[in-house]
Amino acid sequence: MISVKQLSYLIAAEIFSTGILYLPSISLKQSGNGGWLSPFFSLLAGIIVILVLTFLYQKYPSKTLTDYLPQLVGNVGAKIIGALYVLFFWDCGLDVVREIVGVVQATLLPHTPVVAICFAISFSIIYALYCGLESLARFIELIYFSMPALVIILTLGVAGAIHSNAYFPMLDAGWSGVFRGAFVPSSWFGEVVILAYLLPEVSNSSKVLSRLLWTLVVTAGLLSIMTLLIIGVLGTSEAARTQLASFEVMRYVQFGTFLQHIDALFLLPWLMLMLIKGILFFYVAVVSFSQTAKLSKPKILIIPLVFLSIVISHWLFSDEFTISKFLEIVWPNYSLFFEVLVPILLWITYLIRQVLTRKQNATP
Amino acid sequence: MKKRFSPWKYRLVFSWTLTFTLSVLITGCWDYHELDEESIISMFAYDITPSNLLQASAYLQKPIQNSGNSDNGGGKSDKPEILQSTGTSMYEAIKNMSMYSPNQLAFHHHIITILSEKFARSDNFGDGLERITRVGGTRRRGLFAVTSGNAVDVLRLKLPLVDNLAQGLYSLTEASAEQQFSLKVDLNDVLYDLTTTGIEPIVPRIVLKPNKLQRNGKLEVKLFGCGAFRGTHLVGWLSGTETRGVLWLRHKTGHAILRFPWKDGNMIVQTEEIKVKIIPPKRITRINKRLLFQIQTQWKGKIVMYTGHRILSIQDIPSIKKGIDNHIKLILERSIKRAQTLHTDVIGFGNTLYCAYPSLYRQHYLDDWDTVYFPKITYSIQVKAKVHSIGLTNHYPEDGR
Amino acid sequence: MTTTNDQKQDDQVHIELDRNEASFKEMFLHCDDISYRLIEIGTSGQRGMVIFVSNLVKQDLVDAVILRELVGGLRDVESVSIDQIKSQLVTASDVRTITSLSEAAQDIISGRAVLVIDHDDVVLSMDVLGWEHRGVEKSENEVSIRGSQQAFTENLMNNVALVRRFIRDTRLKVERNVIGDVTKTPYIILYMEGLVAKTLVSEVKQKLKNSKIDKVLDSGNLVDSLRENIISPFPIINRTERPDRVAALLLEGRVIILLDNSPIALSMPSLLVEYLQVPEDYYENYFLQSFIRLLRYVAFALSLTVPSLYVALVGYHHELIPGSMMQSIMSQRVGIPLPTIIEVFVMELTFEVLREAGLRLPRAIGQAISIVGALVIGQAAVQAKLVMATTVIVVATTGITSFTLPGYGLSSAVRLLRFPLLLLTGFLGLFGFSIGIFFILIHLVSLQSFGVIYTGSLAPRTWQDIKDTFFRGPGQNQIHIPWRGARHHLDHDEAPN
Repeated sequence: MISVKQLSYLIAAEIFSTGILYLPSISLKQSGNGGWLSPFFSLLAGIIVILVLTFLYQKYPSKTLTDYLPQLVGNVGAKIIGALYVLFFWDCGLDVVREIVGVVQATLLPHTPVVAICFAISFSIIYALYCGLESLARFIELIYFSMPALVIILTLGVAGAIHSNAYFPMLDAGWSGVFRGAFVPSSWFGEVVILAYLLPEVSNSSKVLSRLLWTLVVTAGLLSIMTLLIIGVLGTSEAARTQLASFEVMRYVQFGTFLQHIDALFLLPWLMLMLIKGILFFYVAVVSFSQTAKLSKPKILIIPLVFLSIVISHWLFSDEFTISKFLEIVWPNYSLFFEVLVPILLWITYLIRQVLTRKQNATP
Repeated sequence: MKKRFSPWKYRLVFSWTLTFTLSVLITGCWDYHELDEESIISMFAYDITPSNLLQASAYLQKPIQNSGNSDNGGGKSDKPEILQSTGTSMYEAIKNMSMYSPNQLAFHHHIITILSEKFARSDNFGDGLERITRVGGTRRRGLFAVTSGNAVDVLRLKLPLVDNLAQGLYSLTEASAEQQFSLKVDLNDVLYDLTTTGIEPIVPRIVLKPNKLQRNGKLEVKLFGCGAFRGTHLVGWLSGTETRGVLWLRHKTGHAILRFPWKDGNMIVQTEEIKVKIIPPKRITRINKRLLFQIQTQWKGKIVMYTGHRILSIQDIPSIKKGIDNHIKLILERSIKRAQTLHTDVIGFGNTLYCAYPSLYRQHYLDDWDTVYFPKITYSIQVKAKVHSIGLTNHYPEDGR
Repeated sequence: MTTTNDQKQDDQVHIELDRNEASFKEMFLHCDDISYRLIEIGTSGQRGMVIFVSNLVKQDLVDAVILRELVGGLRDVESVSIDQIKSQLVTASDVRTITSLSEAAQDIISGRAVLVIDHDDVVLSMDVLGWEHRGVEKSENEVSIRGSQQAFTENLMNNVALVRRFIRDTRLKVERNVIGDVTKTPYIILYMEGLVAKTLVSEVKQKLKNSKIDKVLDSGNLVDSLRENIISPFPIINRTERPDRVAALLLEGRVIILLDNSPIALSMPSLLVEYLQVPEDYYENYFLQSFIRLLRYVAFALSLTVPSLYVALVGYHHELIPGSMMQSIMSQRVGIPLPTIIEVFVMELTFEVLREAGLRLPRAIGQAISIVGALVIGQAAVQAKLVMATTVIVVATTGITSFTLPGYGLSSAVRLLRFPLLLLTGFLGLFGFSIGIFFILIHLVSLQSFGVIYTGSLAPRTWQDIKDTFFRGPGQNQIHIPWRGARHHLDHDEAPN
């Protein structure tokens, strides 16, 4: 059992870790210097998912998505949707591993073969999965403060270099730009769909809804501050020109003449948060797999799933270019299908079934 | 009832650990490199040779010579270690340079890049910026400076009391930026000015001249004025005073010392804060109409010296203020005029206009701002000076009258 | 069936003294330290025999309490029974009657005197224990400036008495038992009723009962059977030799095990934060102690990470080294044969060897070793350009910071974990370092000590915990169970407050 507080930290880490590195560069390409507003619109996807999932969870208490799917769409449908979700979560985990590898190789270890980095990551993921969700929840409680701390230290480190005229004219790409910039990041906010499998693990689920909504807002706020920093330091068009704008800002941090070039230190907490994200996805993949296939010992799935994902990620994303293109173009479309569309459809199905049963009850 | 680790579980754990350790051990440290395997470059200088090749010179950071070991020969340490190579482009020159160095070239402690005038006027600067941002080896904190002579000469300098030349130049830049005769510009500032609408980059200028005190032809260095760029090309120089004006117009405050004649002597005042606000034209009806910008300036500072013989009193303050007003106005006008003759908007009038009328600017002014519209703009300057201290004395030390 | 009956019959104390004597002598064959003192009681010539181990009992006590009364006190009586002796004659405070021979033998070798008489099928066992033992001395391994200075000794009941003097409350429960199939060592479980979780006490008892161990020579022998199934370098059972510490632990609802012949008490469950606290924290000014406690956390982190971070900086991420420091490190690096990672590894190993050598040698020589090791070898190695001066500084820093950790168990875990972390960093730089830290942290949070989450008051934490974790806030004189939020399956429903 994990507490609501721990759950909210987990969810924040899940969104924040990818968001902090990729959100500004991706959304600034579309949104101009209004990019700092984009996270608040991306947030909507997360809010919808949370509302739908908590509603369904109230109707089917202490049951995971796989558990209540048969009651909504029948046995065959449940099996199909369940299997699709397993693949989806597994694919998410795989992408996370590949993203970590990409960043680590680009910034910390340029000459180290991917396999070595992959092995190190997969061993940590496997060990953490064996330790269980509760350990992960306690772990995030140890390091969650690194999320605001990262943003605060970055702010202090680059505050002197912010060009104030970079924010003007306000919204130079207009509101439409802000909306377009919010589209890709909304798929990361939508990743809160893992709640469908985490909610039954929460000990006191009465406060879940408000706490999670607050978490999302705070996370969006942090990402918004990060985008503001990037706009101020690099300028909008320069930020849109660079692949990892956040990383450029981290490299720009300087405290006096003594503490400079400390970008590698920023990557340490980021790496931990990213690992947590990967572990969460693999955890959900393992749980949903074992529930869909009705396995009694889910732990035997851990090693095959993680190792297979490394092989496949290697095969799917052979280079940096593929993964960034995938993240920008392919990923949002199909992930939003699983994250937002399917839960909404399930919710509608539930409502229809409710109406039908009421009618059935009324007619005889 | 008792759960014990079964032997096969022990074996599993053991074999996993073994595999992991072995795989790490066998494959080994790919990115590991010792400090003495690297040539750490702290300065770069780019020149164009007479045969139109690009010449890159790198100043290597040397280990501190241990002064206790006298048998090393102290005379040797005076000579800087400079790597030099040529190529048709920046990329090629640096690639060639790595062939001369037994160690790996490392850019992470790179502090300052010096461009020669010829280099800065050519296309190479832009190409170089493209290259270093794409590869990402250099940091955006790296400073830039232009010099009218040979850039390599700067690397051969010896600064007084400074062991590390690059560090010395860094401190020198900061000191000149404080005095506002020059400024501190790093890669990020250049890129920001380049990519932001309606503002062009300026890069500090390094002036070399023979040292009068030392006869052996040693050069003396100072940072004075700056080079104005249009896009990635150098188009001309701004003097120290003109640089001041540009810096003020770019909202950079410093501790500039101003000197102007007042009554029977010279009044010297120190700036504490200077605020400049550029107000774009109220309404633009016709595109070709002359644009009128309002420049509102607020100055705050104190009197640090007065060479005349009057006794300063409260009644003199308005007149001193007026002197300051006129002086500042003069500086601002001179720098704007200079920028206009150079046909590059290093001040950012274009940006102000863009912030006020984004779509209009994009439609009509964007392409020809620097060459057509900016040289024609008009402006009116209002200055409000505030002297808050006349110092601890009130008149010149001399026989009382 | 019959054989067991026969055995029972054999074990029974016989009515005749001679047969009993024969059985005892058979049992104690080749045990020359057993004394048999034959006496005559009363006028009828009724014989009795006092059996004891010569140096385990207090000779004066045997003389005064038993022999004088028995031999001198019964001139006008014809014959007596054991019951009479027990109630009228023997003045020892702890006496009991036994009917089984083997039990009587057990009592003899435990240091009691046993009286056997004619015409009675029970024997009397009397506590006249009194062997040579150390007096209460100053604590040497857990030194503190303020607070009680006394330490436990090897004498079990004495140790209990030391604790009793700190907690004068009837709720302090002392349960005595014996462990070790061969050594049959007595141990005592101490706990505060009402503060401790009942399940915890029964779990500890159960584990000790289930453990099939033959020999228990020190309380350390018990640890393995108590922490079954947990593979970890971290200590999940705390140890102390200070009675005031034990009292403090008891008042936090812990179970304490005291073992005979061992001056070290075991306490469970234990939390990670416990190893970074000392009793002084609560005796001294809380501003100062908060600062020192925070310092200890920093030292804990440093002693684990400094060598690895150094290797990461010098071997991988040169950009992290500040410019001016860079030049000085570069000049040291010139001409050093070994790669930094191996240099650090070798120096760390040397340090550990020196530490072990200094520990085992007699005190006077031990200091010489540490001086020779630290000053002479370090200095000579630097001058001979075999190692960098910075490496020596780093290794020394690691050593010194690890000495600030008050809990020996934790500091040894840190000593151990330093090496894998160093290896990982050596191979993968800061990335390897963070993977290593991730492993350590996730391992730490997954640990449980007797159903209590090991990182309690750090990982599941409340505001109340923070006040007494990184800092030592004021007003810590109330009873507070630190793992209230961290319990996993313990029920604390009876705990007050």
